[in-house]
Amino acid sequence: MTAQPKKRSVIESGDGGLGLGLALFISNGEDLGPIIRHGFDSGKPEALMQNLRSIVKKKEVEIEELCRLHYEDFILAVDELRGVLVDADELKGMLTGENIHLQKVSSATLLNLDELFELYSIKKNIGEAITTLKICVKVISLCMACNGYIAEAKFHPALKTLDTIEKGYLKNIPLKLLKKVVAKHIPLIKMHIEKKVCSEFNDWLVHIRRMAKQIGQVSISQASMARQKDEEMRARKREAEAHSDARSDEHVYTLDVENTDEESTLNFDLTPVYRAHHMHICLGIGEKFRDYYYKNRLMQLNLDMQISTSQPFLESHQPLLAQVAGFFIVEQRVLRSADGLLSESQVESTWETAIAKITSILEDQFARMSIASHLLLVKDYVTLLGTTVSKYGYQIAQLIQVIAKYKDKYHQLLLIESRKQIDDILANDSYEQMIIKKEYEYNMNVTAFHFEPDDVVPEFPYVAPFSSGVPDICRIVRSFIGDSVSYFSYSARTNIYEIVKGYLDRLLIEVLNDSLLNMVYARSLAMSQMMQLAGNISVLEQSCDMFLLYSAQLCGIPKRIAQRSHSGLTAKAVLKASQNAAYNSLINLANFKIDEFMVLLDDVNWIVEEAPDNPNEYMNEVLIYLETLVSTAQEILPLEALYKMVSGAMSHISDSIMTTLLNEGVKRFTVNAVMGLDIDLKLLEAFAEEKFYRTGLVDLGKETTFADCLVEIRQLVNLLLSSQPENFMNPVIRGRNYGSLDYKKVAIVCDKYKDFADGLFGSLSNRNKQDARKRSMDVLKRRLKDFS
Amino acid sequence: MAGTRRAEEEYDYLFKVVLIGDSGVGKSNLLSRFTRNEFCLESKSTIGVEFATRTLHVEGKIIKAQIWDTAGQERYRAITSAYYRGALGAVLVYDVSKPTTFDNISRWLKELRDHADANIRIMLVGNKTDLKHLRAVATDDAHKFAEAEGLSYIETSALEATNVEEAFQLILGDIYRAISKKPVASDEGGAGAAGGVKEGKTINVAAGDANSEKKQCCST
Repeated sequence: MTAQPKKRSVIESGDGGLGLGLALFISNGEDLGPIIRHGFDSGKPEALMQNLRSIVKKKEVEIEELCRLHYEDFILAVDELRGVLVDADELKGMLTGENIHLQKVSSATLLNLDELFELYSIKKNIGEAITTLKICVKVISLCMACNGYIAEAKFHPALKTLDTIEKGYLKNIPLKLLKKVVAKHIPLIKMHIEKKVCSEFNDWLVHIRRMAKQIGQVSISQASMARQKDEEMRARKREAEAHSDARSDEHVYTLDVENTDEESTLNFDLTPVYRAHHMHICLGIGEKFRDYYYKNRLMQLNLDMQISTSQPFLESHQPLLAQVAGFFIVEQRVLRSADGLLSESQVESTWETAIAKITSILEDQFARMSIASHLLLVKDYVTLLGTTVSKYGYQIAQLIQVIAKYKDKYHQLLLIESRKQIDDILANDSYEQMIIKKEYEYNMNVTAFHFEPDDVVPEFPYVAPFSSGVPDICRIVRSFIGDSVSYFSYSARTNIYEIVKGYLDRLLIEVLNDSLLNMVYARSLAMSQMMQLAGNISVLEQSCDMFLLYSAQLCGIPKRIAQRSHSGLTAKAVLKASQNAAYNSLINLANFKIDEFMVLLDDVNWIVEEAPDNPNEYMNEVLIYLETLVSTAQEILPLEALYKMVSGAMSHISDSIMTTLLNEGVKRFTVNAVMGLDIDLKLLEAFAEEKFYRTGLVDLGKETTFADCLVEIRQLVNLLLSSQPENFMNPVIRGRNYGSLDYKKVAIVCDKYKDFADGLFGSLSNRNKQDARKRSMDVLKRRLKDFS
Repeated sequence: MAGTRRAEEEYDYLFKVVLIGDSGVGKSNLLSRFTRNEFCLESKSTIGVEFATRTLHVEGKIIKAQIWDTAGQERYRAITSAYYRGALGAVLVYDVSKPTTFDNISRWLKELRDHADANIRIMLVGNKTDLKHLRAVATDDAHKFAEAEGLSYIETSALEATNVEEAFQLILGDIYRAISKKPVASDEGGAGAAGGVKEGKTINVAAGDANSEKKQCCST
């Protein structure tokens, strides 16, 4: 074929410009939209359409030429393809032949190959099965191991195994059913383990709750024994000080024998707690267990602290407090050793709850107690509890505060009890001097209270200056001091000496002194008994120093320091005042008794006609009484008191006689009656003089003697017996001889003074003398009248 | 007083039994454990009165037990008279871990004696024995009290289903024997006293969990 020459026919159109533009746009591939829109808008669509048709025709011509150009090449290509087809058919025939040939030759080999492929497939399946089974065997063996551990209650390895299964194998188990079963049972087994462990732990809770009381009791008894040793040491130290000769070289050491039972009690087993805590941590619920532990222990504590209503507190307080002590000893051990099971703040808040409850119980019970020893008993156990738990780090300030708060109540009860005892002693005392016949009696009643110097060995029988009530009272006071110190021991951090002193003062003032004063004013005692009471008060007053020293000793203050201390007991001064009250009572009692005898003064014949030779009857009685009084008082009372009493008695007698003369009962008296009084007075003055010197009162250095107490009546009698009574009006003579006399009294008495003339047969000399005295008396009477 | 046989259900007797005791001792859980074998850990107070029934065999007889559960709280006390009407048995429940609930049993007894039939059979139940570590009422103390008051006595745990079945068997048996003896007493004519000597009975089954599964009606 020859190539056709290419021809292009260019068709000329009338509107050549527009056509060229369109052709350019189309060849550029631009959007004809605006042009077409423009054409229609301008109202010339026909021109545009014509141009477009022209372009189409040109393109069609080009296409036809292009087809004509390639036609030849297409025919050639088809020819070639038909040739290839023939060649392919030939090749196919050849291959078919080869294949048939090959099939004939290798059919046997192909069969073998098929078998081989089949075996490979089987091998693969078996391999997979083996792999699957290995995993399953591993899982199941782990399951069996786990079951074994659980059967033996070895929960920790069981949990380890479960973890291995869960984390290492669960996702890889190929068998769905097995996987499902295992996945389902893992949480069930964990729950089972949790329940078992919890059950074991609950058993421990039951056990430890029972054990807590024993633990507490053992700990408290250990604290008690330690306290006993302390007290023995302190007592030994006090004895050493008391003897003050240096035997301080002696040291006694005792071997502490371990109590194995107590050791085993205090070595309580916390293994179930550790185990349970650890297991819960492994289970991933450690927090849950910690919460459970805390809540249940708190509930146990609250149950244990409920007061037994059927049992009196005096019996129930020890088990209660021991239970609480044991509880907190356990908690402290758990806190220290259980690795985060309890926190410090939890234990502290539990303790605060407990101690608040205990203080509330104690306040309630203390408020209701009416016997001091009960309060002391409970207080001692509370302080032992405090000592015990403070060793484990617990704060006991609140316990100390409760005890301090009720110290007044305790001492009030002690005071009440002491008052009863002292009142009993005073009521039953015979108020006679103790007669001590044996040395042990002397030691018990005299030496024990240092009434005599310790180095003095008396001769027996020893007559004490006090009655039997005094050592008994001293024993009560010492017992009070001991009880007071006991209350403060182990519960007061400050110096308790001042506090004990205060309470001792209260005992001696409010109880002892009051009781003594009651006896003084009760008017139930005879004179000798009242003297003895006064003597007793004197001894008790002196004993205040001994009581103070004893207090200091018990409070642990050395004797030297206590002796050097300036402050003493207020009670000493108060007892001194009571002593004076007793003396005044004695004086009143003596005067009352004297009045009984002075009543006899009424029987005196004031108009007797003869001068008497003997004293009046009343004076004999008075002198007998005074003799007895002085001899008794001399043995019991101190000289000062003796002086006061006898002086008072003398003054009273003087006043009584004077009063009698001044009273209406005596209307007139004679010189002979006055002479009788003079005889009476002389006897009394002789008695006074003798006693003043023989009793040793002269050594007191008193300016006023007993006789001086009689001066008023003496001067009156002297005046009435004077030959010149008118001298009373002379200031110098009056000052010297009649200084104690009162004008008014003298006037009254002189008015009653009447003298009768002797009988008609009186001697001449008597008449003269009497006349002179009569005249002088008349002068005095007139002048006294004028004076008044 | 015995219930008549009904057409719908076959039973020989219908016994009404009331549950009383302080709030929170576990009355409702005893009921649900006995009638539906369910235990509810959530402690919701009973409002007013609820009752449930269960039919069981007691000494060869078919007994339909109608158990009435009440609120232990004070504000529901007004319903007491109606509550006790027709009751043949009473179950006094206390919590072994709360001593006040045991102390209040005397008051509940007085309530019974004031409002219920004089011949009502009474059983004392100490519940929550699963709380061994929190026990506050000793078995001996409760047993002595029950003997002194002429009550049957048993300890239970509704949580662990311990002795619950036995407790209701005990009270229903008491009731059955009481009503069974009445005709005999009537036959005697002169004997006015109710039959049966009052004795305290204690059943403490040593066996552990019941065979039945526990169902929890609400999970925590």
